[in-house]
Amino acid sequence: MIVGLLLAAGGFGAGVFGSLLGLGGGILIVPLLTVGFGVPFREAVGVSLVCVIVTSSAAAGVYLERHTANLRLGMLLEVFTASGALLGGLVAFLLPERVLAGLFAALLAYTAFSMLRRSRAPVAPPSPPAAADGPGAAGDAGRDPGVSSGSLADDVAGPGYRPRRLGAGAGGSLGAGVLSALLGVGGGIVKVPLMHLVMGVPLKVATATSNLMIGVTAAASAVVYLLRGGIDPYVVGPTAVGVFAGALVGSRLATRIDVRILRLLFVGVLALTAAQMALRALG
Amino acid sequence: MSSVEARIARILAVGTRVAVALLATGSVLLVAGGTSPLAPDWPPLDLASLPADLVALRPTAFLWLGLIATIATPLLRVVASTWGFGRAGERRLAALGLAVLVVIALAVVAGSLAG
Repeated sequence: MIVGLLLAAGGFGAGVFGSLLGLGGGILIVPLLTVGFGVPFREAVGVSLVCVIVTSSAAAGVYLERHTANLRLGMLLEVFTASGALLGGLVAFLLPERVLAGLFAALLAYTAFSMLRRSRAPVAPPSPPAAADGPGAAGDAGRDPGVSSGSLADDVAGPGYRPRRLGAGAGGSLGAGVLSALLGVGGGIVKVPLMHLVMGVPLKVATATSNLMIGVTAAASAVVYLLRGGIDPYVVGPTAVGVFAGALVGSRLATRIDVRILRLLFVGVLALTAAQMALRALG
Repeated sequence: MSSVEARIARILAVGTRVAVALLATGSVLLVAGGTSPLAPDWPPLDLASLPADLVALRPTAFLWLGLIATIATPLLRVVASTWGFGRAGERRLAALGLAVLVVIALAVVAGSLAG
């Protein structure tokens, strides 16, 4: 009983913090389960993938309703993230858990560094949902179905922008898929900068489209984990329910909390967790 | 919002709620039955016995079904997008959706063979 409640509470915390800080839950759930509950690393990744699908599916519907996500671009890049996830899902069972823990420690350290850099930048006031409907932010709104103007880049363009360097986007998406499957994360840490900085997609659209893609990406590797007996349904239940509830609460708190202070605190937590994961990797 | 996007948003919202409700039911039944979620031996997924286990209110059945519903929700989104773009005559986008479904099918085959 107590363990079930603790798992749900841990998932809730991961959901709240993930939602407040714009992180997928995976980067928090894997350390929570391995360090906090002693779950083997690969099983924690399997559970995390399921939790990541839950949060992605819940948020993606909202992003689509607000026209923030570019469904067309997501469908293009998903071919590559899902392929990478399939590959990563198979490789994950070949690698020693210590190697995976070492990779995760590196990912945590990189995330902490990125958040620290962001915390020094001025924070823009949160824009109301309606702002996402404006020019340059919309997904499919205003398009004429069936009208294709030639190139693939035109097919996946949104109002005010036309994604460039599709080849680099495809390659980066493949890598994001592998990362997601190996470490049980959404891969937004790769996909958002890739779409925004490399492909020229507006940040808000890149974030929403990345979230939309996470579900399918994680599903590709979750299928492999599930069929290989790598997902513990007992741990998934309370953790995923907690993450779902936490993400709902976090999205409501986001406009009322000074995320800068939270981010700084969180950098410390991530750095400590990275050290623990590194120690685990070193045996 | 286009009809494709509206349909997909509805699929994602309903699918997530159904999946979380099943997982919550399974978790409550599990804990009420005195089994720790950290118990090392969980019963394997057996699709054939799932309906009977659901009727018998076995927690594992609800947990497995919730897990399957979770994974199926984004895949249903791809099916709906592919269908919607296909009907709208956007063949390239429909082909991309089909390619994703092929990758998922390969994941099922690879997972089954390796498992």
